[in-house]
Amino acid sequence: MRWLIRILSSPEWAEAMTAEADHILDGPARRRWLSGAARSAVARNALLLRLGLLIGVGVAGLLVSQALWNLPGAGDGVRFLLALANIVLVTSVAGFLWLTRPAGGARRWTVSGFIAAIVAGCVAMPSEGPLSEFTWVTKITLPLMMASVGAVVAVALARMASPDHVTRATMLTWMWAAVLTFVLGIASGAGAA
Amino acid sequence: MSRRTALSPQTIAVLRLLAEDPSVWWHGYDIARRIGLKSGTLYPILIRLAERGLLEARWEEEQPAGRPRRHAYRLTDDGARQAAAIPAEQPEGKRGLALGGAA
Repeated sequence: MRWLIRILSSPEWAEAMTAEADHILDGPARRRWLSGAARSAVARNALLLRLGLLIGVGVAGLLVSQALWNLPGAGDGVRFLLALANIVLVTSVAGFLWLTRPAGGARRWTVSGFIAAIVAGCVAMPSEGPLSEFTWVTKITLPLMMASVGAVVAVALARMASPDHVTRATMLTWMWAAVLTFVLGIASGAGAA
Repeated sequence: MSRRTALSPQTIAVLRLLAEDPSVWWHGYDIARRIGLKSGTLYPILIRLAERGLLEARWEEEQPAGRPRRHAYRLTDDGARQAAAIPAEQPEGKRGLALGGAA
């Protein structure tokens, strides 16, 4: 973490963060301090952040495409619906990026949550996986899609009405709940398959 | 050129704390503990305030045995004026409350 802080921060501030940590006697508190400082250093480095997001979204997109292409027994209709669902998901992510643009941390967590969910979906989508049945697509992908689109619409309305931090935090919590529901749905589906 | 940015509740809390006595130098960990902020939130605020000339930073002259010197912070005159301009009764983070400074 010290290395990350030194790489990404100006020399004076990197030294300030790490020196402050050396004055914290409690080990876990010191690690938390360094971890937070490292995260803020990464967050302030816009180029690295954008690159990381781009790579993450790209990898997730490739995995989704590969999984869709190899979906066994899927007719053109199923592939079309799955592709449509993923397009809506990506659009939702883009919408959320835009809507939460003043909140760097919230934005990162939201995107990472989406990427985690998409990757989890791809991992749980082998040839005999739960998503080889169209039933699972309707049970998992569509609710997630509706939840994410609903969240974007809700945040858009909330931001127009009241742009405070509490509203944003509430919406992000809701979004996370939707993502976790999706991952749990995938996991339980994989267990039942 | 002047730039105005809405103040977050955390930034207001930092400004208010440092404005209690603008002559006092604070350490980052002490600020974080007093306000309940994590380092990942505190340092971007300190850096931003320093970049806008509202915060003064210095290295302590004395070096404790076996430990590096610490960075210390206090408000500049501009920073103290900005902090004083924050209405005490206004809820933190309200739109319209803004941080002005040379960009």
